[in-house]
Amino acid sequence: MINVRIFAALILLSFVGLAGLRYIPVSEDVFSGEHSEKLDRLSYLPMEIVAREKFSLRSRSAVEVGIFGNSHTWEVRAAHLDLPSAGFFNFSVPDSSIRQTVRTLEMFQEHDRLPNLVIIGIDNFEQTLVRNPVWPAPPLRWVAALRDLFGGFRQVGIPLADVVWLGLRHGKFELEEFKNLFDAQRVYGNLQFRLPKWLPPLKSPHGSYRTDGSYAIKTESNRQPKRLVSTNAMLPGYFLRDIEQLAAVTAQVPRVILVEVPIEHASARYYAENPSSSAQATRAIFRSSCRKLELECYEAPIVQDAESSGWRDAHHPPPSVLGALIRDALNQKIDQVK
Amino acid sequence: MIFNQFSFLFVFLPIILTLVFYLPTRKYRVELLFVGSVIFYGISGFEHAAVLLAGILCVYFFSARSSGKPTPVAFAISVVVPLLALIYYKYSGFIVGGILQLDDGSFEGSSTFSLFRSVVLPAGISFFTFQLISFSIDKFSGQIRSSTKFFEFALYISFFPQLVAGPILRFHQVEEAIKRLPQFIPSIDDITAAISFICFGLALKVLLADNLGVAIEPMVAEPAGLAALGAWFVVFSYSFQIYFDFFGYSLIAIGLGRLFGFAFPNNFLRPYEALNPRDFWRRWHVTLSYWIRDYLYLPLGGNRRYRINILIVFAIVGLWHGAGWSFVFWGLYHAALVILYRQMQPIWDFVPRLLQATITFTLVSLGWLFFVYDFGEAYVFLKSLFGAGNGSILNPTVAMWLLLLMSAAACFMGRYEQWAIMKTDRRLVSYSYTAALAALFVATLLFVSNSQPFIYFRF
Repeated sequence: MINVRIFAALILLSFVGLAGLRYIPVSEDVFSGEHSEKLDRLSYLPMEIVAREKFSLRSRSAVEVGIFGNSHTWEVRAAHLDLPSAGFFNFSVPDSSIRQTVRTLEMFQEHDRLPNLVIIGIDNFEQTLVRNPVWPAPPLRWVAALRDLFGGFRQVGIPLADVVWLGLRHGKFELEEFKNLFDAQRVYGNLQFRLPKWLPPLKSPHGSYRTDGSYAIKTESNRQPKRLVSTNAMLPGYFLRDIEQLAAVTAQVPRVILVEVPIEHASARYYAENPSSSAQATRAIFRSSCRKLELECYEAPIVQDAESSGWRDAHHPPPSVLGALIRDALNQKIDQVK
Repeated sequence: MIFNQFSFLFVFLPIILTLVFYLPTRKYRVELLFVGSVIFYGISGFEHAAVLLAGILCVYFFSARSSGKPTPVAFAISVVVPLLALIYYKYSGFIVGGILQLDDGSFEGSSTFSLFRSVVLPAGISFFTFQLISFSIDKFSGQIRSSTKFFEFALYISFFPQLVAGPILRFHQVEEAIKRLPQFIPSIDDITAAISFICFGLALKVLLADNLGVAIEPMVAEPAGLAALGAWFVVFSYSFQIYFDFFGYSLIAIGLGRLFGFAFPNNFLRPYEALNPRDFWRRWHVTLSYWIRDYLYLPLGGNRRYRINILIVFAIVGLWHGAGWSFVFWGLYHAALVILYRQMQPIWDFVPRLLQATITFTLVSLGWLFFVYDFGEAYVFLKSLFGAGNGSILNPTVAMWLLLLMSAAACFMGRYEQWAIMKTDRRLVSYSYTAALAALFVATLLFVSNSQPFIYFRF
């Protein structure tokens, strides 16, 4: 017969162990110094581990220029922006959303580590990720989630349905995260990342991170991307709240620019004529809040035909295309939202 | 919802346990559990829950609510309606396409027959239909004398631990447990046994059955490419896979049942240790065997027309498992084995017991081929089994052989039902067992994310 108390204690202990394995960063900063083997291995680990390592602020020297976003922006380097590489860091974490960017900047502000130039890549409004922030780890994440919900109740312009919907998203997200704690591949990947001499990697990565945080994909894509399917699922009220928080958090930053990530030209042309209603609503909020909060915002232009090679799909621009757009924005060669 | 999901283990189950045992609504536990069971079932599709509810309402109004014996007409309705639902959802495609040969694909989108192709089978419909029918028959035959309260009857049919894959229960087996549910408080024995059953069941399903499935998937997909060794590997691996899949589910069901005061019968009595084909059917899916014996075999005349009845009964058992000729053939294959055994029983029983068990296990394992393949593919596979495959698929790796070996050990050495209710005063034994079970549970959780639905859900 089992001893129920000991059984429960052992299960709880293993939960704590797995959570620790997942959320406690490795002892050294993998992005500082020379390119290490750890950066190669990081590239096939899930986003929460990438976030954990990228956002950890232990030993990294101050960042002058930081770019924030997800897999749409993660390949961009200083050279693409005609900026010096010293002091540049790409904080993009695949699969994350604007909500993660805002939360990260809040953390950086709390630790007085905000860069002097913050570049934020916002998903194209026809294709937005809506995932809740995965980092910081619980319980800070839960506190932020509660703040989200109570803030939604208090804020004018956020309908109750959106608050309920966001609550459900948080619930589902937490269940997913709990599930991920026990995902054998994730656990192994995490262990392997910490104990590389003892454990061989499960699969070879399709690219590698660099010490500046950017990502280098090994194989170039030459496919013609299929037309984008519109997937905007933003909660408009909360998008407004995120932008407002972003403005508040970066109030002391000398320069902040928000750039909507372009989509491949065939899709861009199609959606320019047939925008989805949700994308229109989100874009309207983006424009009005940028004006109201005096943020420097740039909408995605329709890219040229000639720039359509090298796209992995219709919403992942090659770094040269996105870099050129950001460079133009930095040099104010394109019109910002007015 | 399925048992090997986080949402079941860490959301649904804690909520339903809390609602049932910690809310001051003790006298509504039956109702609460019924609603919970419908939600458990309905999450996978509203239409399916509607089918379940319609069956319950039909049998309740025409059979269960009356205190006396229902009229022959009411009895007929309470049997025929659930049966028609089963035929529509499970067999309409087979009848139209397989028997009447009306659906040759030319009707796509334009004819009456194309609609049968879009019918989605409600999970476990064969299981709850058999329970509905057994209740109607027992009521009509006078075995159930008094009227039954609606929610008690509804819970008997829909109770979530056994709703989708059995065991197939008779009302008298759970009547007492349902009636005393409002007063029931699980003892420490119930809780410890439940934890053990659930841990063992999950481990068998997630660690063994699912990993065996993953291991043989590419081999199953190309029967012509298998060398003989690979083909035999597939035969025994699939045999263990389907056993652990169903046995695992049954153990979880027993464990969950105990948490609510239900003592479910064990559906598997070490079937792969059976000494002959007849013995196998006394050990495999026992509640189905009893159901078939009591409601089909005996009314047909039992042993008086042995061969004919065995053929009929096993053909129906085959059809119960799936709507297709290969399932009918599988049933007839087992009928042939059982009849053959009876013919040559004196010789068979003379053989050493280990050899008897080995032959039975091999014959049963070969039979499962018809669960996987249609006739054409099965023929190709059988050729590969005897060395006629082209060998383009690589033979199993060492890790795969190790998995098969572990599965064999788990099958022939595991005494899960005994271990789950084992009692000991020796602290060291208890602590070691607890630690081992906790480790097993955590190891299982690590693989739950990639776990597959139970195979028997489709029946």
